[in-house]
Amino acid sequence: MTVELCHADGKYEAGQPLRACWQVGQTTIDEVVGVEASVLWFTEGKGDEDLHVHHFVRWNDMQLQDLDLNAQHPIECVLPHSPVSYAGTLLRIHWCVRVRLFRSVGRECVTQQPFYLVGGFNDAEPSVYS
Amino acid sequence: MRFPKPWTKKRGKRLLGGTLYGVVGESVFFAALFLVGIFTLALMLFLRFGSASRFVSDSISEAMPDAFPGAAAATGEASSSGLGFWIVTVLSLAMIAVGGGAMFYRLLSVGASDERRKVFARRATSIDFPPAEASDLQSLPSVPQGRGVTDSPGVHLAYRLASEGSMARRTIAVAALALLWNAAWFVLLAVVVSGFLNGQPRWVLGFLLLPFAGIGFWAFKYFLDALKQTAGVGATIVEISSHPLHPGRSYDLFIAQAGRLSLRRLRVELICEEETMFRQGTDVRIDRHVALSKILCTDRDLSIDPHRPWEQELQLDLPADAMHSFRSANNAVCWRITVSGDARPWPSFCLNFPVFVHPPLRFQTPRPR
Repeated sequence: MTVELCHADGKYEAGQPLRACWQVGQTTIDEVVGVEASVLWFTEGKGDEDLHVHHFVRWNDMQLQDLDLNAQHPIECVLPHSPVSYAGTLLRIHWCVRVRLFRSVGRECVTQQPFYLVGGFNDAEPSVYS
Repeated sequence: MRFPKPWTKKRGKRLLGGTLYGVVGESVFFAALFLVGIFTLALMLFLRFGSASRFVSDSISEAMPDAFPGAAAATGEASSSGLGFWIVTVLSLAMIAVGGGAMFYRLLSVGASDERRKVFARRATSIDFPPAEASDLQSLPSVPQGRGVTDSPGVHLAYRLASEGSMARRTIAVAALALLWNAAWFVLLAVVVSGFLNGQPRWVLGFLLLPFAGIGFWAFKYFLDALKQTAGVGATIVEISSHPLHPGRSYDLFIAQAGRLSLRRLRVELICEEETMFRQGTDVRIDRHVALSKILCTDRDLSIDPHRPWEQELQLDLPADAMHSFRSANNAVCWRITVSGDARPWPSFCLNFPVFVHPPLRFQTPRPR
């Protein structure tokens, strides 16, 4: 299972659209009962994890009948202005596109593609304090 | 073959034992609570209103008149006593509500991913939930708005910032502690003295009065320090030209320190602090780390009197790569301006004035005041 972002450098401006594509290979439609794709941020560090889902799409087994899992499927959303990606000492904020595949047999499969959400200026860099 | 353990232990992010056992255990517990609630409620209603209640009492007393002489009376009392009936009924209803509700909520989360649960929770918090894109673009999610900061207009600049916590409130709290503790000590002293006068000395209580007196002395000294600080250190005023702040911009600051005191050092500082909350066992702990500290002004050997407060106009340059203010359930990035003074013989003081930094927005128009 792969997730590809439309920006090769993985850097997105706040308030701008994001487009990503996900693809499941080597799996038949009978083995899959659901797929979830989400654009989210989560925290990492000393504190307990916070997670916020900005964009969420779910395909159930009926909807999956119309999908070709071997082809690429787009996820599109407009990114919010905050929180921007952050790498501090106690706290880090990560953005990612996460795709979760539910199988009829066996454990679910998760793939995520991280990206940077930077401030609303073109030359902005992810905030880093250490 | 590994047998499942009835207990589990969390080690960092690693959880020993499967989550399945946890779900099963919780579901069984809440189901049992629900069923016990149903049973006790049905029993109480049956004893209260059912005609068979009399039959039960009679049959018990007839079958075992010697073994349970008070059984009939007790059963009849439980069913007829209004207070007892209502207490048990309310408890039963509570067990039904808690058990049923918790089991239903627990089962809802089975098979749902973390992301889907978050989406459910977010939808539950707002009935008329708009699409994520629309709501998030209109506002700044996870960024404190800081509207309270602009409530007070300033005299020299646009806004007067409010300090976090008040010294007067702290003094009142410390005074209450000192007075209550010392009042209790004097009551105990009166008991001990009266014991001696009546010829029945209370030695244990008398010895206990000594450490209690030490605590009372410490509380009173702490109260005097707080009183001196409140009385000697006057009002600290911080005004700012604009709010909220944005990275890469400059702002004017006006600082004034009133009072009657001599300061060895007075410092104005801009601080960005990371704050994290985490659970350690059953304790909730908070850890803080200063991510950015910028000294705006340091002045030494000051003498302030009530007619001539210390005043200073400063410029605050926010770094272009500054992280915006952020707050989520367990983590935060906070910005504040601190005014700290090293005073002698008065106690030193440090006042925090929170400010909020917003991320830069396109097509943003400043709000004039």
